[in-house]
Amino acid sequence: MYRTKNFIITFAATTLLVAFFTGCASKDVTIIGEKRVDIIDHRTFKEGNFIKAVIDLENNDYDNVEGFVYRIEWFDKDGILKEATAWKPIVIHKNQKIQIVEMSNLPDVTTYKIVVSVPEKL
Amino acid sequence: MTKTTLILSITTAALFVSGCSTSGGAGMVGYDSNVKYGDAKAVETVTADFGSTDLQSTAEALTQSLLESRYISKATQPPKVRLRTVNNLTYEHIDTKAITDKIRIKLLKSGQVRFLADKANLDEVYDEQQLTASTAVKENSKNIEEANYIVTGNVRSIKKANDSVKDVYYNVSLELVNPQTGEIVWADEKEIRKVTSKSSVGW
Repeated sequence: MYRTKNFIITFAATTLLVAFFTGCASKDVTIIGEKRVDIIDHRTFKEGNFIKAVIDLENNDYDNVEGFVYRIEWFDKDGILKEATAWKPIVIHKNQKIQIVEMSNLPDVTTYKIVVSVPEKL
Repeated sequence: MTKTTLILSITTAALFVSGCSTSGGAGMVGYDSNVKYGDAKAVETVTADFGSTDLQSTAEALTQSLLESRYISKATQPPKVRLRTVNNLTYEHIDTKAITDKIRIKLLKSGQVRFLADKANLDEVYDEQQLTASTAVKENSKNIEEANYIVTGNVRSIKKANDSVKDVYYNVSLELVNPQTGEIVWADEKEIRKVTSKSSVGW
């Protein structure tokens, strides 16, 4: 009886852990190129009829200024790409954090994906 | 006779082969040429002049800001807006209508705003009315709808350079004005800095 209980607890904990980590693997974020920029957090909220995405980024490097580009892809409830922003250049100074706020212009958008492209160092 | 036939055959064959030798597969012509299609939304840094990336990022930023303004987001009905001139106060040629046209497309897609014909296409509207409307309607055809708001703005730049660095700062500002009262109900700006360094490659 004790062993069965232990097994159930272990199984439940493992399942929760796996679910948690697959959730954190974040299908909403794609980093192309070198991963020198960290996406610390990203979340959305409704602003009227539209979705607003807030993304926190960090340059952990103590020596370098990072120049990279990003775009946001907006999807509807069926997973159809409704709109993508233009690639936007952005700079994070060494050991700094920045916040990007983007809002979809289309009312039927429900989800989003952040694509960050970091160029190779020359 | 045989020689002439031979020459004609060779010429025809050559023409035929050269005609058929367009490179590429089905649906492609000149695939191995120097012309390539690129990402229309890619960041472009060919020169420090106002470019496609600046146009796109300006339009996106100002559209977002405009949609957030309470005069648009809290309006009970989508307000009627007319685009007016955005002045180019820089020393380079910038098609400012490209900025407002792009903003208009985005705002129309949002369904939050209605647009009235602007000065550029108002003549076309009059022509169409004259062409299609009955005489009775023609008399009233000049009664174009009043806009709730008009959009105006300015594009400015500051350029500085020395032997090694060229710095360009652009400022695009737009205003939403109530034409009945003259009140500016919304204004925002997009700032862009572009630095060209002779020693660096890329941005």
